[in-house]
Amino acid sequence: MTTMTVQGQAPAATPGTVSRARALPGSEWIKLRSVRSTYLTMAAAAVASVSIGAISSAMVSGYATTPPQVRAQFDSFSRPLSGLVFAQLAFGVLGALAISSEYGTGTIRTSLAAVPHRRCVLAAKAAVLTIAVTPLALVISFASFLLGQALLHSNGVSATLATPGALTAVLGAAGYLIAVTLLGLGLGAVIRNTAGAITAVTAMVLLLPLALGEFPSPWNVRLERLMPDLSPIIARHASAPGNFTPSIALLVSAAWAAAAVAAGLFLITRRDA
Amino acid sequence: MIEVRGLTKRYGATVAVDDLSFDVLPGRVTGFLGPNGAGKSTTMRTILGLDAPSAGEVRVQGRRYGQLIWPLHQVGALLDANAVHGGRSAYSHLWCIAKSNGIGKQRVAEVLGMTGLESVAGKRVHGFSLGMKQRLGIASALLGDPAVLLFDEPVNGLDPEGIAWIRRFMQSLAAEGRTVFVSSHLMSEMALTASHVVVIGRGRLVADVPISDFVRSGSGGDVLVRSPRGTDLAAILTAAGGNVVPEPDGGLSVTGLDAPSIAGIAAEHGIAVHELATRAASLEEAYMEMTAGSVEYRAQNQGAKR
Repeated sequence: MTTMTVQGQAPAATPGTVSRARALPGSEWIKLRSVRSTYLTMAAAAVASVSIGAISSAMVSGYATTPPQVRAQFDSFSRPLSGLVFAQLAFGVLGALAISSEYGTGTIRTSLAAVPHRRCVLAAKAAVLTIAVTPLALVISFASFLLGQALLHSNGVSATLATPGALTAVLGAAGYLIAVTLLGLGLGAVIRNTAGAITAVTAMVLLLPLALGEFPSPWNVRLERLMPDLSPIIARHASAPGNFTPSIALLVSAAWAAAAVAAGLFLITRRDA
Repeated sequence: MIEVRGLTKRYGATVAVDDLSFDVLPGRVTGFLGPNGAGKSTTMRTILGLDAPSAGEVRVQGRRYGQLIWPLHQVGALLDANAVHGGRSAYSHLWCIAKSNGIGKQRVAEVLGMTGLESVAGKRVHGFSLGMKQRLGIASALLGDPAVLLFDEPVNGLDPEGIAWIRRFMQSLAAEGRTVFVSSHLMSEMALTASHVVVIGRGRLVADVPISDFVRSGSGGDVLVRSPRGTDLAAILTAAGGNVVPEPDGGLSVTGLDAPSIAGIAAEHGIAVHELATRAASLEEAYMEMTAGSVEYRAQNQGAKR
């Protein structure tokens, strides 16, 4: 190794007064809000969620004349929140796009040349996404629930937020949407390709739980409950013995999100940009 | 200043850059020449810390790239003008890059002005021509007012006006004392822009010389002589130690003797000379000669070329 000249050393200190802890999230915030896809996916999530939950709730009729054993199966939480099954895809896409679009366009090179501390870049994306989607997830979840209950009211089966388990379901659903966003981000960071990342997040939250449900009992429940899945979080009654409670089910989904982001953080410094 | 030491980059079995060492000094435009696939872009990505070297080291302003706290204040780079999100406005594109390094909005406006993009700042990049994207890329490279600038093939696909603009811009940046390192596979472009060239072929260093030496180092070059008594003159010049090759139009291509000696010999023998011209090897010829054997993808019919 040849010795390097020291005279030409660059100052290590930072010009200006802004700290990196503020500059980097600020940069990611600009990236997120300066592209149309952010607003489109958010609007799609809101519209799909609230409208599908409302339609599903409004279609309930003749509850009063239904046999009691069927009535006992009726889930007044899941119906209004059923639109979130579609909303979660938009959240997953939003998360995936936050990084996969950078790989797709090549701007990742600009971003990582500007900030060689790559893990900080991905961590800032995760933080900014979480802050950006949390209010939306809460609004979508509460609005879907309340509108759905209003539509179920005529059947005399509606619940309120005060109903035991209702608040857990609504907040859990919002938390789940945030988890799927971060799952999308993590998968996007690992796969580095928009189509691949969206396929992966869709497969994980929709297709895999379906496929695992086809396994012979009790393996279907044992495997299904280990996947990120909205249904156990918003279920009023446990649908099958062995299913996790809503809180545990949310933790499972959050763990997947954390694992995906961790895999992204692990790989981002090990691969060439 | 950029210092490249023993840089090697392998992708599987392929060696893209092979034990490359050179310095890029401030105050001048240094051209980085090589045929397509020679390893220029790989080298540039390594300088920017984007690709990890398989061996060796690169330092920018005396530090490894990863040690730079706010790199945009030290190094600005344009790697690929098309690496922009089409849905983002030019202003937002620059603003998010600036923000990541603590650079303010005022500087964003300044670089938009320097590159003549003020009028389209609010427009989405999607509709930009390649020339406008090149300007946008240069604007982003200038954000931190860096001492080191890297441009990868900045004139590719540009119209003559755009090429002239970039050429002047790079020279003015170098005149301000900055280190300007610009890659190209076009010798003619570098001849007009750079004062020093680093030439690579197949990932290896071929030359690291001032552009003037670069021409001289290529052997090429001959003297063209035309005379009504060509055959006689050819015999005399050959006897005097020259290497004479008749050309199809009757001229003689002479190497091994310079024009004054040829004129002297012709006068001694009373042979009239109608034309006597020294033909220097062009930069292109010097470049082709140097990188011969290091061209990754050679046209099949090149051997048939006269």
